[in-house]
Amino acid sequence: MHSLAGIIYDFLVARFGRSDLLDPLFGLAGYLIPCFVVLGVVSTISGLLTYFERKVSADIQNRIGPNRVGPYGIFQFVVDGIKLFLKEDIIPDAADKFLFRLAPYIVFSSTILAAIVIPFGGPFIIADLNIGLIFIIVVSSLVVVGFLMSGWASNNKWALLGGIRSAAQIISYEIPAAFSLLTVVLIAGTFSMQEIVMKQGPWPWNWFLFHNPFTFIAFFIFVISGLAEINRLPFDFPEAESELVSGYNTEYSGMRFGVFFLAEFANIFVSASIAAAVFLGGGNIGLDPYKSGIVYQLLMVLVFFAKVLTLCLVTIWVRWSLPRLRIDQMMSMCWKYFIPISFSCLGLTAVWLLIFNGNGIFWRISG
Amino acid sequence: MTNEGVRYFKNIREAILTTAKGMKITLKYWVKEPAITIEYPDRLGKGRTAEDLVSERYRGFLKLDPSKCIGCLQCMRACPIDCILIKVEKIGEERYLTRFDVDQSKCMYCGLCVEVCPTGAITFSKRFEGACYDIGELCIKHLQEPVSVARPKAKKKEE
Amino acid sequence: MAHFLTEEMILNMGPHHPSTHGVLRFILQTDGEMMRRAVPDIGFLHRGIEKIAELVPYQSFMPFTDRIDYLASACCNLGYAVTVERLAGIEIPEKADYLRIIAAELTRIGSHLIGLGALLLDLGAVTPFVHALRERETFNDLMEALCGARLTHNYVRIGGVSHDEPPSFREKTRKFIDHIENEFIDEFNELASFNTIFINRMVNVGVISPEQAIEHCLVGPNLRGSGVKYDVRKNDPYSIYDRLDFDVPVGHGKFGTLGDCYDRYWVRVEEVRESCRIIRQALDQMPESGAIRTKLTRAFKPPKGEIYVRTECPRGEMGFYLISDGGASPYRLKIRTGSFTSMAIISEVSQGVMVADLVAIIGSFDIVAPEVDR
Repeated sequence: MHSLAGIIYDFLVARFGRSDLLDPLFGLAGYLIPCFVVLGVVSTISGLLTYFERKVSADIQNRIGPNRVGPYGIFQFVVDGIKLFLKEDIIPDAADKFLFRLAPYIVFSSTILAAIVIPFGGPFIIADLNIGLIFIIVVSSLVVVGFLMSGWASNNKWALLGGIRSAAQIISYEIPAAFSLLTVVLIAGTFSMQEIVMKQGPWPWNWFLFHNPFTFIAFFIFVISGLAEINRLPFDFPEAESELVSGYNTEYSGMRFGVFFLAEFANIFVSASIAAAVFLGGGNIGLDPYKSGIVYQLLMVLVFFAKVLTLCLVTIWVRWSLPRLRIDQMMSMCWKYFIPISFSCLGLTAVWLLIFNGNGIFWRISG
Repeated sequence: MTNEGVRYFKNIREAILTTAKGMKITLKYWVKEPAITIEYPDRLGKGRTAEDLVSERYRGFLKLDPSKCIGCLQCMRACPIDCILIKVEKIGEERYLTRFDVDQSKCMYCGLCVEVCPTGAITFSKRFEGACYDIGELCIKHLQEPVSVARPKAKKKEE
Repeated sequence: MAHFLTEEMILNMGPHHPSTHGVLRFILQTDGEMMRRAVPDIGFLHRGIEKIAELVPYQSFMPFTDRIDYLASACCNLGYAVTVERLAGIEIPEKADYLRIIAAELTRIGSHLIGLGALLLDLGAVTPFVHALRERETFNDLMEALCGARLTHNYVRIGGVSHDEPPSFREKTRKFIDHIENEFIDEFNELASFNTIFINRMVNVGVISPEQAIEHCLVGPNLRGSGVKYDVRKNDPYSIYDRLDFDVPVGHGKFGTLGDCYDRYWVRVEEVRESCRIIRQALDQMPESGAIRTKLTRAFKPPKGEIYVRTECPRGEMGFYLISDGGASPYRLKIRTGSFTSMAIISEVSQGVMVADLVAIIGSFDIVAPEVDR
């Protein structure tokens, strides 16, 4: 089994021996341990992203940003988390209490779920599903349920508008995002994330981004629809604070709000990781992820995270540069521009592969 | 190609170009421009206090020089919101200032009292930090004990 | 699906809503995102300034004029001072006139910076707003050096101004307007005004035809945005505006229809440039030294009579209608403000737009809630 779960399972079997009683436990442990590790890692990274968001926005706006807690204020997010925990958790009287409580967890868990198939570089992938990419596409649209639920359960008109907006938006932008991912699937010939990464190479000309002009366009379409799917500016309609007060999370407070907040940043990370793995070669440094030494494996992780972080910073940078679209403009942008373009990218990539015999634009140097 | 089609691609080009321009500016600020924020109140730099931040003419809390006050009550009359309370009492032959209260919580720092003062007894300080736990603390009693009224140089008297 | 049955919803926007610019309430009649009508509900910030005027002496009312429009206090000061001076026939020294104009035009720049920035903030762009505030900080510092206050300046007095220029005020002001004119506005336009997203949000939204604008008594940039060339500084000059050379920018449908939100926005951007021109001329012409104030008698009492004086504030014509019965305080003072009249047209232009457009429309009128209620 080429995944973290498999490695841990093999390790446990080698350590304790094979027995019918313990076998399912080992299998479970193989999945649960990395899941918790990834949960911790993704939460920490989303926390760090909130720090980066504040710091980058401060730099862009001639301000200083957080600088009190820890060196350069880097532990600000920890303090913020503690503050949110200590805050009163208010549930409105007229709210649908069960759904109101449930919604943040659905949003967060459906966000984190996608992390299961993200190749963090080297062998570090929880489950290398052979339908990995489809899994991501499916799971990431589950967020809508949470948003709608919170919007409806809050019993607040602004929140309801936010929830409906997010449903319309996320479902629309699923399509161009999926199509642009499929261009890569055409080239790679597989849905498995790990294999997509391994089909690319360490250098930029080995990446699927520069495979042909259409994947190049598809990358940008994916990144922009990614922005829309994770409700970031210029597409932050569900929580447009100057229009809908705070959108679907208007009525939330304390850690329930914190979970929404964390989910938003986890979403940025997940979206950036997919883009990095699918288009930018992920953690590929030209070595076999399973057979090379631990140092090289960690180097792969480093490379992957460097790419992801760059994409995250770009996401943040975009947010602080642009105004917000209007909801109908956002829709027409999706249906009139993104879907036709991504669709033609898919078709033209197929034609390209047919004409050039599956080779990329840099096939001479990339070999 | 039809007009529609041309516009379609022109829109895409416009969107990309203007977005890139905006992002270039924000990138410039991100990497180059230093922060201009002052870290008030605790990191103002060595030896600097909050009062050094404001300009010479700053209209902060009112302060009183009792030795100059002639008790003409002009400031009290000029004040549009009656935040100054002055009492002048005659004890024996001398006239004494017995009370000079300025309610800084009411004061709107308009400067009319300072302007009308003929002797410059009431002036602005640079103090502007008025946060306190009890609003009564902001009613500043400038006189702890009666002070004899300064003799005005000009003969003209109000009282 | 010819008849998709939907239900109307009454939405309460405000009084504490991020984009109502103060304490202002709109009752929205919406059908999902589409809006049938928006009815403004005003009066949350009524402080009875007109009544206060009847109770305090003429000079003592000056600080209250700061609070009519707190973003442009020097302009309001100037309007009130000119009114009383015309009624009482007070001549003021030349230098004071120039200092007043400089203060008023600096204030106009500062107010427009906030207006433009806040509109962008409503549309989701935070950075341009903070950049505009950064420039306003310089303006605040200039005014603080000049008169000692940063927001409620209370600089103009009946018969002059309160302070003479501080040392190096001219150089600092020149530097500020040079920076605004040559660097800041261009950069701001690149960053925000010419952004496709922003243009798409603003054009063809909230269109007000010139006739409609005149019918609804729109004033100031809102009127000029509809293409009507009317500026009190030109058409009915007060103070020394007749000595200064400046243009009156009007909207001409820069990207879309005449009188849309973008035109109103763009008129403000251009007005900042014009204000810079005015300040530069005033600085050139201002005498080096001289009296800055005509002393009034202590118990100042203008003669019996009444007068209406209009002045151009950043939010349009501000009129002071003053009736004096010969006493120490006005018999009646009526203040006519620009934001108040633009409230009336909001319910008309907001028919059939989206909720997000209403935010753009309110922002493009540059409403300051205290000015609406006074």
